[in-house]
Amino acid sequence: MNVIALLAAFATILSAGFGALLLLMPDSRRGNFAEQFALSWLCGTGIVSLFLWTFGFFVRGALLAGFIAIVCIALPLTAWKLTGQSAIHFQSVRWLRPIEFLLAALLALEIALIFYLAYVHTLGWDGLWNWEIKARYAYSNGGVLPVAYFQSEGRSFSHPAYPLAIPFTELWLYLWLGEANQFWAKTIFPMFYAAGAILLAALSARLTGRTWIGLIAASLLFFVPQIATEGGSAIVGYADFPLSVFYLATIGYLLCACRSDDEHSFRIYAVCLALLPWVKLEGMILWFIAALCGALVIWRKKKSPVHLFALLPGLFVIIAWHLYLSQMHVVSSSDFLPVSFATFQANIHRLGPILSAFFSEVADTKTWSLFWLLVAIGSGYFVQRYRDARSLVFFIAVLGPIGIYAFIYIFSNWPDYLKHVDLSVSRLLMHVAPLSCLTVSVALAARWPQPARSPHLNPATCESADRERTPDVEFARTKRA
Amino acid sequence: MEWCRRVRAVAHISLWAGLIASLLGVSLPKIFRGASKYSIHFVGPFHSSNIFLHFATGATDTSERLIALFDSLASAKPILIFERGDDPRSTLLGMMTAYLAWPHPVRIFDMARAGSGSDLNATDFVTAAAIVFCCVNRPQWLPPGEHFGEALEVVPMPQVAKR
Repeated sequence: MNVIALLAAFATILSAGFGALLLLMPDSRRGNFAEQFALSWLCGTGIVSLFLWTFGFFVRGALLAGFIAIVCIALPLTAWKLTGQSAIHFQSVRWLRPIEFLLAALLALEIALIFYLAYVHTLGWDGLWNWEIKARYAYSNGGVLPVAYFQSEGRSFSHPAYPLAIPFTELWLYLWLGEANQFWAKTIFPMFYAAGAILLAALSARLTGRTWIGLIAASLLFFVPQIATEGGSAIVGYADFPLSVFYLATIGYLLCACRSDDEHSFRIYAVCLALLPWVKLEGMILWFIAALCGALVIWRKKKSPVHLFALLPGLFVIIAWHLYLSQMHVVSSSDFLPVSFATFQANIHRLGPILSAFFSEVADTKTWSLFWLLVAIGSGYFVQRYRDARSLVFFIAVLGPIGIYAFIYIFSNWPDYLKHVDLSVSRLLMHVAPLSCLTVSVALAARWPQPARSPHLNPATCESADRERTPDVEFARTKRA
Repeated sequence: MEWCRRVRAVAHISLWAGLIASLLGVSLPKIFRGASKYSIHFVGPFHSSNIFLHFATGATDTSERLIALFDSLASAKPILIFERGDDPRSTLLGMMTAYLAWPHPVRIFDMARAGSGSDLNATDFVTAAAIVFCCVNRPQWLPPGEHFGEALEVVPMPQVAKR
């Protein structure tokens, strides 16, 4: 019975996400089935958690769950009607080459292993006390977080101010299961891993023009201990890996949007950008960096200033959440000192040891293996291959958050600020890890010339890239036919 | 020029094959150890909290027993939790008790920090629903409470008042 309820919860999340995707990309440029699944999962978790929060102001309990379930099912049907399609088109399935088939099988095996690892591990401390706690308390209160929770000094360790994408996705499972259940709550995290790996493969394939290279890059993710098995990894219920997947999608599709008329990628960028601050507080920093990158692309690619409106939904989420917290009189965290010039001046001496701690972490092969070495070497190839805004966007997106994170620890309120850094640095670096993996795929593709232009914009250009088997090329082939 | 291109291609492929092989060589033992360390041994609504509590106290089904105990007490009354911030096991128990004690208000006192709990007075003890000791010795003036292993003791205050 639990499994059926769980499948229903997942189906409604994917349905809501697919509905949003239909609205964003009404034609078959949504990508292949796997990519649509991954994007549907990301959009779906965002939609369901935001709806649970907002509709929770008006209704509770079974009514709240029932109403949102109806919205989730109605969304793709409405999108289908609105876009005026006679049927929902999926990109035609093509036969995989033997190498692609083998790599896809390896990736599927890795995803299955991540599911297994998530089941055998417990939720980590933060997974239980930062995220599951909110889902549990909201479930016991008809789907709405009790006001008393925000004001509970004794539970301030659970960071009541953290946003609700992850806990309210768990809550959605609980509403279907009919009980708060720590075991089944873990299921959402391997789903994020699957979405992340698929998106990494898809984005790599879009950037390099080769599916097998994307599959290699996605398969490598499993062999980074910090992502697969370490504390704070994708299996222990922390929000850091899901946040990194949202960030990968945001910047990845922005890189794709750098091709002159790729409006669809820009729309996905806008949606994922809006959801960043809803996943974790650090998401606000990632939102700022990604918004900056978006503005840069709009300026450099001479896109219409109307595109700047894409930055507004995320800003709205940030403002709405903070207004809500101020109304709840949430207990404030004492982890950081108030930001002021006097504090900055007094603590500036910390910057050296903090940066040193970040470098030590990058060089720690027990946690990261040789991942960052591959990324560092791959970065050279990335710059060589993309001598345009994409390189600038990519490096701002990877180095910007790390710089801001390091800077913030100047204001740490812990007596031993280096212990504070030490506890969180691996998880902070994880935010940019899947995105950084794009450099590896670009490096692997360095021996093959890149198509001059995205083939889907002009089917004629497909001639020069006829050996390409990317979604873009497949689309162009369909169009030519 | 052709041979030059070939040499570069071979160098590139060798470099990346070597790098990926090295990454796998460093990672695989670690991943294998991580993957083979645990097995599924408890599937239930309190999967994680029960495993944590079993690790810290040695007791089983502690989450359900703690919730049943807290549910039997007036929910508006607070739970006072005494822990030692310098002992990870004590901190774990303190936070876990606070997590399970909902909807009771909770107050956590770190006995390792000077001055912690100095604002407590007799009224606070009388009005509390229960007092929880996490790796902290119960004061002699309080009667024994319910034990969950050796490390966790909960003293329900209504029972103390009755005595």
